[in-house]
Amino acid sequence: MGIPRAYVFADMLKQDDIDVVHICTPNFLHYNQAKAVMESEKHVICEKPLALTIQEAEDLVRIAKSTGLVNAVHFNLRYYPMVRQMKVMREKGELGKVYSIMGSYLQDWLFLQTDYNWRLEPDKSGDSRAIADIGSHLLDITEYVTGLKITEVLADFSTVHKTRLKPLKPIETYSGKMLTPSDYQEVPINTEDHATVLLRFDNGAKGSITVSQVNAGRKNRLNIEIAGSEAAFEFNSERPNELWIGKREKANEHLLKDPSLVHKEVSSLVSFPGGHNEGFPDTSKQMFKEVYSAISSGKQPDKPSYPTFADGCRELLIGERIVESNKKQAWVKI
Amino acid sequence: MSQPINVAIVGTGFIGPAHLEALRRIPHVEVVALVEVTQELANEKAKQLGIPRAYVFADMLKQDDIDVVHICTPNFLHYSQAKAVMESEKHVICEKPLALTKMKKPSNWEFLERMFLPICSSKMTSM
Repeated sequence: MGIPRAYVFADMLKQDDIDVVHICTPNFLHYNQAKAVMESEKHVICEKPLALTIQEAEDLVRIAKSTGLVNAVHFNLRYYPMVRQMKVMREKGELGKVYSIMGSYLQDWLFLQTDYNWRLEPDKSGDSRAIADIGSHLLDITEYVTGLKITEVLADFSTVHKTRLKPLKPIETYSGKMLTPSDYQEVPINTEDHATVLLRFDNGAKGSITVSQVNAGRKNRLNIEIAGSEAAFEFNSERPNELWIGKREKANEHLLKDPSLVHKEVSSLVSFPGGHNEGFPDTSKQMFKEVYSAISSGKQPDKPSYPTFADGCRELLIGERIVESNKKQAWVKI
Repeated sequence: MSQPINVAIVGTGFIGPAHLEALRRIPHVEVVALVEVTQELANEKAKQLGIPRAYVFADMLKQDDIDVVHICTPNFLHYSQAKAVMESEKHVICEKPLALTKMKKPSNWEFLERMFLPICSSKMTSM
C-alpha cells in the first residue's frame, strides 16, 4: 500500500510523532482500540459502530470529552454534497415543517446462502447486522438532515437465511474454482437480513425505514424521502449527484451537483464543477477535510460540523432500542 | 517495498490540483514538487497544497530525483515544456491538447518517444 512504517497496535501507540489514528478494524475491537488511542493522547477517527454496547460508547464519549481530543465516527454518507444541501435547505426553512420520513437502504451482497463474512458472527459484529451496518447510516442521515430526534421505534426483523454455508477455508483459496458441499459448514444465523422499523419523531412526525442485505440488484442504495410543509426531498446514494425537490404548486426541481447551484454552506463539499460526478470515496475526503481542520487547531471544536463519538453513541442507542423492539414486538422509547 | 516515483506538477489552475489528488490516491507515487511562474507563487501554492518543494520550471528540470513531470499549464506552454522535460530525461504526462499545432514536432521526436515512453495523450499524428 506504499506506507513507510508498519507496526502492531501496541507499538504504534508508542510513536510520539503519530498525531491521529483511524480505527478500521472489525467492530469488536473499536472500543478497546479507541480508548487506548485516546489514552496515548492521539486524535481518533473510528469506524462505525463506535463500540458493541452503549456502555462502551458512553465510556468513549466521556474519555473524549475529558481529553479534548478530536474524535469522529465515520458516518461518511453525510458528506454527499446533496445530503448537506438537504440539511441546509431545511435550516433555511425551504423544507418547512417535517411531516414524514421514508427511508430505505438496500444491498445484495448477502443475497445467497453461501455469502459469508465476519459480519454474520455476533461475537465479532454485534447482535444486529442490517440495522447496525447500514440502518445506522440511514438513521444518522435522517436525524442529521431533519434536525429531529427519533423518540420511539417499532421494529420487525427477518432472517431470510436461517442458516448459511460458511466456507471452511479462506475463499481466496478457491478463486476460479467451484466449491463443493464438503467445502462448507452449515452455521445458524441469528442476525437480521432485513428489517422494517416505524419511527416517531420529537415534532410529532412519523416515518419508517426498511433495510435489507438480500435485495437482488440493489448494491448500496440508500434512499430517503422527506416530506415537509414547503417541499419534499428525495435523495438516492446510487445517484448521489442529484437531488429531487418536490413541489405542489409549481414544477418539481431536479438539482444537479454544481458548486454554483448548491447553497453556499454546501459548496465547500464540492471539489469539481457541475457535471463532473463525485462519489463514495469523495465523501470520506470531504469529511476528513473538516475533521483535519479541527485537528490542525489541536482540539475538538464546541460544535463540530462532523459526526462525533456522541453521534456514534446515539446510533448505538437507537440500534439497541430497535433490537429490543423487535424482541418485544412492541414500541420502545429511545 | 518498491522505491517511490517522484513527481513534479507544473501549474496550479483548475486541473493541476486534480492531478495532485489523483496521484495521492495511488501508492508508491510521491508528488514532491510544484512549479509555478515565479518562486513566490510556487512557494505559496506548494504550502497551500502540502507539497514539500517549490520551483520555477527551469530549476525543477535540474532536480535529478524527479522522475515524472505533469504539465498542467495553459495550452500554449505544453509544447515547449513537454520538450524540455523529455530533454531533461524525465517522463512526462501532458494535459491535452499536446501542443498548439501538428507541425511543431521536434526534429528528434522519434528518438524522444523511444527513450521516454510512456508519454501522454495520443500521438501527434492523431491531432
